[in-house]
Amino acid sequence: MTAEPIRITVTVNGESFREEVPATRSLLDFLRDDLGLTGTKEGCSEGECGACAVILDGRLVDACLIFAAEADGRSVETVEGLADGEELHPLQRTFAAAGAAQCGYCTPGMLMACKSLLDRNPSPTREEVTHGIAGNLCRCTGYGTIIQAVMEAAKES
Amino acid sequence: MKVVGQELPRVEILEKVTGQSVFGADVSPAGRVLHGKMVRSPHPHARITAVRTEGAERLPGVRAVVTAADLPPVHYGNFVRDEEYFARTKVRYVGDRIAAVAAVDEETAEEAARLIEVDYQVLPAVTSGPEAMAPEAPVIHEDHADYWAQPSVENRRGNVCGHKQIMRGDPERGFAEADRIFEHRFHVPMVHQTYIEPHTVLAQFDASGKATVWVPTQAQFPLRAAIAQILRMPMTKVRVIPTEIGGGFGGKISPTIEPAAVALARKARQPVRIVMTRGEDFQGSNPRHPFHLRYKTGVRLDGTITAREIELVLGTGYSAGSGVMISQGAAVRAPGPYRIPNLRIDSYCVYTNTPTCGAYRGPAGPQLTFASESQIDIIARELGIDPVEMRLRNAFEDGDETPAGARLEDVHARETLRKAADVMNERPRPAGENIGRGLAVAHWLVGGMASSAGVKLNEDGTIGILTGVVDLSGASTSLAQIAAEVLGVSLDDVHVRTADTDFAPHSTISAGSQALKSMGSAVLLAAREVKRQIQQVAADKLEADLGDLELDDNKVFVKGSPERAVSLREVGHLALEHERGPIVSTQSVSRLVPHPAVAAHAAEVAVDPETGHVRILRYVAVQDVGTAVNPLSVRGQIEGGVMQGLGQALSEACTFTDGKMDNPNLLDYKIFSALDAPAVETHLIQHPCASGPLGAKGVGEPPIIPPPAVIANAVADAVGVRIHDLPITPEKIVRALKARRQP
Amino acid sequence: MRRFHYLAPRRLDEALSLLTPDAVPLAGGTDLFLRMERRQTQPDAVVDLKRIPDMDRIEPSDGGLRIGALAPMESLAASSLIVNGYRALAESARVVGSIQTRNRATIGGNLANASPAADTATPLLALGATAEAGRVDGSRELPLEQLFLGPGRTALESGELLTAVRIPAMPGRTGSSFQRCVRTAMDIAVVNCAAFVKLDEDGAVEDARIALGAVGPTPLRALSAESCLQGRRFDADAAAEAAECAAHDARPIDDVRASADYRKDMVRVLTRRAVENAFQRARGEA
Repeated sequence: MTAEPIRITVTVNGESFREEVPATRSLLDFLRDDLGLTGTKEGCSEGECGACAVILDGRLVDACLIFAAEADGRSVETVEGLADGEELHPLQRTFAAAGAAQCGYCTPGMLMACKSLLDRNPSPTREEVTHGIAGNLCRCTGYGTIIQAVMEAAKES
Repeated sequence: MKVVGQELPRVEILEKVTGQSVFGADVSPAGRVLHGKMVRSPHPHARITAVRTEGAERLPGVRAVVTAADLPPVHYGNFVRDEEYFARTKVRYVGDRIAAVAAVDEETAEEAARLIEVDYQVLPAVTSGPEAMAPEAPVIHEDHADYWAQPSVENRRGNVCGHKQIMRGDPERGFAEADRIFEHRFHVPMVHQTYIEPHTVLAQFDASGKATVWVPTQAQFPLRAAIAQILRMPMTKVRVIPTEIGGGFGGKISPTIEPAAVALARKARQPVRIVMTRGEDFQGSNPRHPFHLRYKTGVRLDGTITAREIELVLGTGYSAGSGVMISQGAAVRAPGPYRIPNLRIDSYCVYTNTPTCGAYRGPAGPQLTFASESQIDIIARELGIDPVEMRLRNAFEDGDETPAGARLEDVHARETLRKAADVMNERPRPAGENIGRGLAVAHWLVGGMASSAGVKLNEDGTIGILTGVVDLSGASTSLAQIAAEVLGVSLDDVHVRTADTDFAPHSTISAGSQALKSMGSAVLLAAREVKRQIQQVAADKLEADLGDLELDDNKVFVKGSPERAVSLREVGHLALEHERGPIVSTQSVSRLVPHPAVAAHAAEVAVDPETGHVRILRYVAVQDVGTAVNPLSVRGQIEGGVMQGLGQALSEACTFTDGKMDNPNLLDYKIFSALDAPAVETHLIQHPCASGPLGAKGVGEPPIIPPPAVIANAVADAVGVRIHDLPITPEKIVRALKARRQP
Repeated sequence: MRRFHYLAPRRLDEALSLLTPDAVPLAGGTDLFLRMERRQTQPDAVVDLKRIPDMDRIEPSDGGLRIGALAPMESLAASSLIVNGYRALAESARVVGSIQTRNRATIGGNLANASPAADTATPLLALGATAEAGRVDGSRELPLEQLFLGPGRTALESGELLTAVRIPAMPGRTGSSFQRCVRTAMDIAVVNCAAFVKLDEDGAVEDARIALGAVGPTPLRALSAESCLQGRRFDADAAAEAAECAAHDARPIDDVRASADYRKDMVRVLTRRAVENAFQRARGEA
């Protein structure tokens, strides 16, 4: 069957984008292919790995399991919006210093999960951090340095 | 040392934390990119009687369809040429490549792939190594004997594509001298690397007949050669550009979708991208070999091992791949880090109807160590000896030989082992039932491969390094630290670039823990030569003896009179006017002497005897790393390796029913999340290693090796049951506990 | 994925009128998206319910609770009404997938998918919940037991939509508990179990409900385990006997996640733990 493209308006990292997309387009593909924001990664497209995690209207979500059309009129935060101009987000600084990114592929989603956690809970316990990143798989670090980086970022802010 | 040994962030870290790193799927070339899709076999073993592509070709939006008919009749393979890229007459595993399509969008590509019709005559399949060795087993490669094979591949027959035998001493006498003989069987299933970035490729084919391939690969030079061989193109008509790589762990060495992408791009005259789905990646890449192992060990009552007889059956999958090499290497490491005078080792590499297994981090290591170190524990308990003491009694030392007869130097097995035991014993066991401790020790042999690297002094006094090695685990940073150390600059003054196959000096692959050893040695030579050239130019300027000049703080100065100095920046400029010209050097190394790298781990676990769940209370990882060039990277490698090893210990397995993988997704293939991961207490044993650059040893492989054995030993200590078959799932523990209650 | 029409009605009646046989409702999408990607579901139209106001409300109703079908798991886990009054439900909502999933996945989706392992289904069965099914010409309420027919199959008729779940009031001396067994922390349940008990003034069981998940074609009530507890005071034997009965009530199969034998064993363990815990809570001890 044919289906008409849908016109959507989505605010991404504070900037409003008006695009036409087919109904089948995922939010992940919309960000990567339509807007060229390739920081958000595809890891499984099954909602299991968290590489595509972004913040949608203040809530952490996996962009691979959301239709772009569902984001119409809503606001998305991605890794590209984390730094304030030249000024890195505290998490970006502590991730770098702690060695919390190795291959770096899970890092954008992981950073968004951590940001979302700190937005909700500015001084989390280690256990709360662990729960906060449980939906983001990392195969390189063993998670210890990531948890350390979040604890340090929480201390900073 | 000022830079080497420092915990420094990786040189590419800012791109990574800002999302700017360009991974495989992030590359965008000029021109509209087509979506490529593979067509794969649904059967583990079947004869192909017809392939019809007309329906797909007629579909609007389809730009190219390729099958075996579009490729030259090439058999390829590094050890046995038993592989054809697209199946021609037979498919040999679920996921075998039949065809590929390229279309204007993903939906059309999917639709076209579905429209390709294949007629199969289904054949009986076999997915386990021992079953494939049985006389009545279906034969996977009928023309096996006709395939070209390297001379080292011995005793090929039936589904056995290689059998390596090692004899040392007199095993019969060794067993006769033993007070007790123990024999156990173990099984380790296939596991998958599960890098978070799936396989992906972008290929372009230009009017001059040159293919450009952007791909996250660990092995750009071998990949170039493989693509050229498969498509019968001149090698330098293939340019492989390695992108940032989202994890490899050995799974991104062999060609997978790259030749198809090139063939499609060539036919469509448009760039083609293929991204594997997660399910495709599980079934169409190169996981870790499943092993069946039999260990027979003779010991004296004091714990001295007198002989070992070891039989290994490794299921390689539908082609030999690197399986033959891995089975040969497995034979050499099978006895463990011990001095055992009498050995008989038989290692069989066997075809099965599964994906071809590859070189997952520490190939064969976790399998061998699970069996060997489980058995050492069993024996120690039976003999009433402390398991650590038993290991110390037999541990190998400098001057001992591998079963293959290579002399070992820089061995620190005892110290590493003792440290792991000591760290665990620093704290008492918590009170309570069903808590246990276990330990295991293992070694990896770090070789070295032909490599070259370029180092130059820029006119502004900074240093450039040109390599062809892909940065998988912090290699670029460590190479920069080595150059910075030699040239007296800070890490910020060193720029490292991994160039592509057209421009990079030939470099080793990023695998086997040898990237730093090989490339670090080349960079060290080149940096030393650049230093000599700098001294040459500076000597003229300072009117000093070349031998009196030292480099530090971005300056060259006369030893003892630091005021007589010239900055590297000035040297950079002076060199252009100087008779010697720009300062640059490219240096090479060839195969390097292998060194052993030892890891000893210990765990404390609590087992819920009702549900079988294992909770890791403490995990200690001690590793003999030589000089830790960047301890931050080294610890990161160890902690990550431990976690992969723990997954293999407790939850990971590719399982098959009727030749089809049961769990090709991240819901049912269980890798560790943050909630499963214990904190790792990491300790480094640092003694500079003679054969490594500035004393460094390889670090990536060893940490993944001990965990399955460590957990098996800890579980046995906690609840008294021994699991011989990985992973050690709650269900297996409950079953074993029930069996013990109802004998 | 096959192409389809995306519809985003702003009113419930409009949504109901769009739910033709070739249309599917979209809530959180965490299951539906995957099924469409894998072409296990190939609808002509997808009706996104998230633009309809108030479908995600959690509110007191008739002394009990009414949970709008669009309420996401994370809201359930955080709702003080649920955390204080219906602990087994809060405990189950807390473990459904990752935070990302819990922010999207809704209670309506979790139930309407009719997965035998649905984590919120067992506590809702134990708590005596009913499902509210809306259609163009009105709505009906059915006990949750009657909603599930088999894996992926519900009693909802064509054109009917699960609009809310109602749970009755929880008077004093009641307690509930949710237990589950998984392979790794982030997992679908290998077995899950919820228990509810209501005690009389003497501490004897006046009412008990026990529900089991992932051990049959649907989430199911362990009826013989329930009757075994009737009228009894708590002791170790009572819990153990109920557990044994529950193991008989379970009808598990072998699959990639576990064998039927292990599942039966886990029914025993989890039922005993859930019953003990529910008792403690009913007596105000936990």
